[in-house]
Amino acid sequence: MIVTGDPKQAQIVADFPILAKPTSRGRRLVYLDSASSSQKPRAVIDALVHYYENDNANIHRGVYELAARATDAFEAARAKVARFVNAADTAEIVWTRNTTEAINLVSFSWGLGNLGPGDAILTSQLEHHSNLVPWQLLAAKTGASLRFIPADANGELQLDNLDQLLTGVKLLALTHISNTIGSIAPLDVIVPRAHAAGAVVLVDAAQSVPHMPVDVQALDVDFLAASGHKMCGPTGIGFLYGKRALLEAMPPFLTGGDMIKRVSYETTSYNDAAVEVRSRHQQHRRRDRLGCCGRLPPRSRDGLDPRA
Amino acid sequence: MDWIRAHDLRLTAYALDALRTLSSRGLAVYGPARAEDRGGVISFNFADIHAHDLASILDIEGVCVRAGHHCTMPLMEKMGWPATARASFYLYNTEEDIDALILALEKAATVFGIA
Amino acid sequence: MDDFYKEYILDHYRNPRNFGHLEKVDASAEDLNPLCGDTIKMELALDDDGRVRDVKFSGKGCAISQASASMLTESIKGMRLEDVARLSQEAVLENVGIGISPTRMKCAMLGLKVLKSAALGEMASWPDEAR
Repeated sequence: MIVTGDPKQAQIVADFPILAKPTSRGRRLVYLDSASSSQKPRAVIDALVHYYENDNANIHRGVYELAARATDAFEAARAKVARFVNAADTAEIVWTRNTTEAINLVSFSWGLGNLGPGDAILTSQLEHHSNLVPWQLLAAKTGASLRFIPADANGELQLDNLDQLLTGVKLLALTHISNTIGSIAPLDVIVPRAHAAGAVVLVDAAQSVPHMPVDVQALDVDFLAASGHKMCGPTGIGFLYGKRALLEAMPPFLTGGDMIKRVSYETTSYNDAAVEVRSRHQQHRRRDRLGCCGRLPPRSRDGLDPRA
Repeated sequence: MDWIRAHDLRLTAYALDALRTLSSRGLAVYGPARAEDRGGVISFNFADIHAHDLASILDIEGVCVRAGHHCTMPLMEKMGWPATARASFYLYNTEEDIDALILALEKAATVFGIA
Repeated sequence: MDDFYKEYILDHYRNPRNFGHLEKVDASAEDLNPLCGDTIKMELALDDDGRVRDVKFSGKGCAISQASASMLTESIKGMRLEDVARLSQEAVLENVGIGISPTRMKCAMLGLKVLKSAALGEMASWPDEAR
């Protein structure tokens, strides 16, 4: 079915098999809900099948060739995500299930150890529940207070009193693009002021990383969270970017897998910090992560590489 | 990624213009007025049609939009919106998709007797 | 499905029957559908034999939830509270008379859920022999 006169656009549409399937009423599928979840291109679907047909084994475990291949693919996907957001170091990418889990990871692993009574968490009136509820819980657990950057009737952040709001703030947690009204937070204005006030900055990039170039070093954010399923990747894979020095100082969020160095019946010691923080997630959803291997190359092929 | 951003922007601007043609019939678009100030996301309501009813009618026409509070209940309450319908765009969407959205909205207006 | 929104559904949506509040309330309940934010409150007045003498509902939401609640209030006047508590989903669907997709079922059933909750709450306060 020809849906567009532009050959490049037509090729992109053709890369997504689901878009060629009519609805049960025989209508052309018009999918306008990518902010919830994107459709998947053939390359990602094929990568998942290829993995199970050719490379499936437990990563970071087996000494045999098959396991080494699975591990290589797994770590190559991490490196691609690191390049995609221009992280300084591959170890700064922590696999999570999604944005929500990435934010919860920071709340539990960083927040519980760094916040206390008298501290403040600053977020905004625009936030998705995923970037609000974890901070409500963290505030309740630590005795910290929770403040909000107000939004106007158009959903644009009101920054008139930002410096006042930032007083005593240990963490600024902000959405990059509002999932409800689409407004874009001026991170270039807000992040330097937050840092000047001594705050760590977390950005919920669920709606921005899939849609625009996002450079974590240029933005100078401390944490950034995004979901694979909103950017043509499979469901069940997301990531947290964290500056290495912060990640290294964080205790494990989930325990029991290969963040472990040595375990006795009574005690456990953990691997080097950056590895441990990220690798607690490595035991599951491998298939989904490897889907990222299929996700990024087609963009490069189409000239959509973030660094191109 | 620059291409995707430019593509989202083009579609968002096209959709904002197209939705405005229905404003005299009660269609309200929320959020920044200029496409440049947005991601590829447009929340709206149409006259007295509840967003869920709107999404159901659009679905009959093959058009998938989200409807509800979008996991931002405090924001919805602050803005005074019980729910909104939300159309969002990505690299595989085209102007034809937005034309289909507008046609489906016109169908909804007919069903709900909106002149 | 193309007759999804029949005229009488829209009529109940725009001109809900028994909408508002009772002066004297014997039983009431309120709930919301967290998925879409629809809210419904039901207020019942009972006569001495435990029959529904009057009913009012209030709330806001989609045409399906509001019309379904509106039609429900019309059908329960004079009904024994025990029978209200036993009303089935099928009865409501028959009342609504249009195909309801699985994702909209919660909308269609919100009024029923609230009504049953009001009835059961009131019956729980009755002495055993009256139930």
